[in-house]
Amino acid sequence: MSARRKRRNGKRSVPARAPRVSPRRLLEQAREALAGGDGRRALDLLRQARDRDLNLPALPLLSFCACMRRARQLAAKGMDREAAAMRARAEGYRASIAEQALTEDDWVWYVRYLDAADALAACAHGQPGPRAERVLADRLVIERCWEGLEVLDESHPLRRDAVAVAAGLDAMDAGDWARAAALLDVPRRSPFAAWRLFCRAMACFGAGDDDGLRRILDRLPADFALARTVAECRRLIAVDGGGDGSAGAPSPLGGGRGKAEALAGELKRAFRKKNVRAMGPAMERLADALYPDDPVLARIDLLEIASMAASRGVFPAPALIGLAHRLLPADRAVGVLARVLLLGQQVALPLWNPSPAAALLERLPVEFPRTEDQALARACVFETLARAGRDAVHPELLPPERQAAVAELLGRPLDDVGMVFVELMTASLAADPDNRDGYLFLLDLLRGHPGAKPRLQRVLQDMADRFPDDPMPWLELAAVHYSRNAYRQAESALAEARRRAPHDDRLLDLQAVGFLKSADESRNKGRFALAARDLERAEDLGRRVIGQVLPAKRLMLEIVSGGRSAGAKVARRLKGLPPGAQLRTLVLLIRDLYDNSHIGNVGPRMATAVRGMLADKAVLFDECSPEEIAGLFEPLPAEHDILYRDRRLALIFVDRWPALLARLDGERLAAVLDILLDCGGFEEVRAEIEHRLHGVGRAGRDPVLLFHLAVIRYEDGSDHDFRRFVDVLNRVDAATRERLRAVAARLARHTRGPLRQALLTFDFKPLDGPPAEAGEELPGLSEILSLLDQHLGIEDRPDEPDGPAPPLGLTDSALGEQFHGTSFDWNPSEEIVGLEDMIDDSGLRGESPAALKEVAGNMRAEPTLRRKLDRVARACEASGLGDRLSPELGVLLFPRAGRKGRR
Amino acid sequence: MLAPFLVLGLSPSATQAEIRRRYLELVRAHRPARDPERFQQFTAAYEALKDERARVKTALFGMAGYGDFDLALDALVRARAERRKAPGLQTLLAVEEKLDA
Repeated sequence: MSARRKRRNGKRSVPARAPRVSPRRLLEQAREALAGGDGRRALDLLRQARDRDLNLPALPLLSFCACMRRARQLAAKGMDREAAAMRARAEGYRASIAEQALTEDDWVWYVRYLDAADALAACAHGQPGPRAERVLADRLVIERCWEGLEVLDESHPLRRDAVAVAAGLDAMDAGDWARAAALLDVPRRSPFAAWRLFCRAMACFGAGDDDGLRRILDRLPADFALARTVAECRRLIAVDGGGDGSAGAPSPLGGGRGKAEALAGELKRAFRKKNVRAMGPAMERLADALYPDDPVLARIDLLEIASMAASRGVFPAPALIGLAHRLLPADRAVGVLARVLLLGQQVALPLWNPSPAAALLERLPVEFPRTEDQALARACVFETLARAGRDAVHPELLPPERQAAVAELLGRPLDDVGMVFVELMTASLAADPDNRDGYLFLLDLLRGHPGAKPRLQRVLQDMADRFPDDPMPWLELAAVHYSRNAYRQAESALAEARRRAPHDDRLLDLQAVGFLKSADESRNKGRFALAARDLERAEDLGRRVIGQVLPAKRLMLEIVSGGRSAGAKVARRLKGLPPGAQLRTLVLLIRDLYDNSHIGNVGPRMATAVRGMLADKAVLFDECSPEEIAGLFEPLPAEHDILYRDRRLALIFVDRWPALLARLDGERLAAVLDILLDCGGFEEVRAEIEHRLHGVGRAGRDPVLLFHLAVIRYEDGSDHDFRRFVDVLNRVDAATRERLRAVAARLARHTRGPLRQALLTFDFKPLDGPPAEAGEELPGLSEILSLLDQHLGIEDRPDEPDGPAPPLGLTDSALGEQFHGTSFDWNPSEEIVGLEDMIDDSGLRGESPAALKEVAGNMRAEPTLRRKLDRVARACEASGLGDRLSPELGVLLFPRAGRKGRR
Repeated sequence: MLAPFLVLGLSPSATQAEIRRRYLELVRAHRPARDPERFQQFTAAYEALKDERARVKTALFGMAGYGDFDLALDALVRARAERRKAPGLQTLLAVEEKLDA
């Protein structure tokens, strides 16, 4: 109410009666106000206290502090004159302070508000106490005013320890807290000790050592100068390792993962809805949050994540091109896409295609500026191509254009298409000769080629030269020499291996097998004494690896060297062996007799006599446990490759005793079926499974057997219906499903191409449809490159003819095929072609924009048509196809944007 | 590929010596018995970068492990959260002063 109105009314306002607060209470309130940083309120309260009692002992000190606080606040606002006046007032109060009567708490207030030099002088003459000294130490670090330290005695902790602290300031300013902590070598009781703890705390924070950080934070004093930082650290490590980063005040330590998580949520939603238009901006924002120092790197990562999902058919491929164009600089987009395509072949295998590799190799200087890295990358690309190809396709089935693409990649023609992966791996090793794993893969490839032994030998020699301390190439060379009956060279190679690894088990095993091989050769040449000596030498080595075959080899020598009849000799030797060993020895003997039937001293009657014993020995199976029977099917160890043409014996057992399999069940049966498949016994396995399932109702059929059958039928081409797999999986519980996953992983070894990938990923939907035939035209990167070229705005684009744009369908669906082997369900290109046809048929071609807009309005009045047009428009925008629309279609799709499309 | 660098708290231009030093620091701070999950994360990140060949392969094809879009994004965001940056003293003081005013 204004004063005039009051006078008019003739009334007087009665002031409210203020509550009576004691001077002591006013001082307390003034202290609280000062602690809260409110200098003005503190001054007001102190004035009231002074009015009540001028002689309060704490009044001068608190008045001084409040004035200094207020002066700093005024100075911070730029009110320098007022600040100077306030300081003068403070000095007036300071003169009344009796320093010798100050308590420790008083000293803390005093040194907090004195100028640093004055505070040091006061400490030199007074008794401030450790807390006050700590506060002063904080001020020295913050204000860097070391000059006033001379007033202190040299042994005073503030002066003594200041040297070490000053030395660490640069590191603290640079954020190198670990180094700062090392430099701040001050005693535990030093006034600066809290700073050393703080440096260690920040070092722990940076290292992500939350436990260490927590322990140190608990030791920092509550009134430490950087109390807010300390509180923020506590907050960040308190909430699930990151907090939400959304506290009201900006945190000097940055937010937790909250912002990035929220942005990732946005991106996930856009991805699930295949909303490409929203994905681009969402990726940009998330990349900025993830790695603000270089968002392009983060964008590449995000694009790669989306691309790998596209490889699995959950995202339309052409949209990725638009995203790459939007998110990345022009010189990075193609390289990233090429990389993704190359790797995508390992995930969802279309027919193997080296085109992405060629595009990627061209762009290596951009992706890897360092020359050394380019060589490694080149090697990696070739190796990836070789490994993916080996899993995907028989090289002999490679169509001519793929062969040509590889030849171009290698820079020379392919002499033998069967060696295509060998050549690629060789090129990889030429670029990175120190890749030991690469050598092992190359050896594996070469072993699969019967005529490649000389080359295998050369590669082993190269490997031995490259890795001089490695015994492995020498061991392999010894095995190769043994297989060629070059015993002297084999012994030399073994000697080299022994020099490098004298106690290597593999070496000793190979030596034992080598003696057996030598014994075979001597036996075949009629040198029976030498053969017997080699058998003794093999036995003396005491290696378990030859335990199964040694009895058979001895028997073989006895039979061949003459004397009593073969049957009696065999019976005598077998007696005393366990039942399983008897059976295995007989089978090995039969194998040896057949393998060497061309040798003069191995007569046909020998094999007949031994085979005749097999039927009698069938009773031994009753004495064998199921484990022993399953063990009979196991192949001989790999070292025996040089002793037998085929160390796999399973088919012999099945052929002679088909009923053997009936003794097996469950996991043992699955393991034996796996062995039989390894031997190529697809027919035998199929027959066994079909026999077991015959007459069994649907509910009682073993899902593992059904799964095996589905794989076999798919692989042999008799049934390519992917629903066989899906039916089996839909009928089982979670535990059985996991069991089938393990079975699938095992069976994948026996398959190739899409079935192999489906088994490895346990996802059979990509099998929907017939597998790609060799020779089917599948796109390489060229279509993608041409589309990108268009997006990258080539100025000298040739004039396009009048009329509607050529159909886009081939390119877009081809791109979809490239990623997941099947066209994605909705193809905007087909819609565009349809709309262009509609424009032609309805006579709208060449109409004015106004007329076209009217037609667009009429079309959009119908909700279904409006939705369709919007959908096509969004797809065009997201994938950058807007420039390929005719002007008329541009107006129909974007009526508000004016005349779009090609000019 | 950014993720292993984020997990180790390093710049993508870090040298092999810096990568190794950082890994040893982190392993000392997160012993396997005390913090097995973090130990595994740091070790996996280090394996992806431990020598030049591994590093190039990760840069080229590190994305091979990205199957599920959601899970891959979560892993990247978590990796970013590990990359804490402790600012320098002057920055911290400036913020405290601003809040005091």
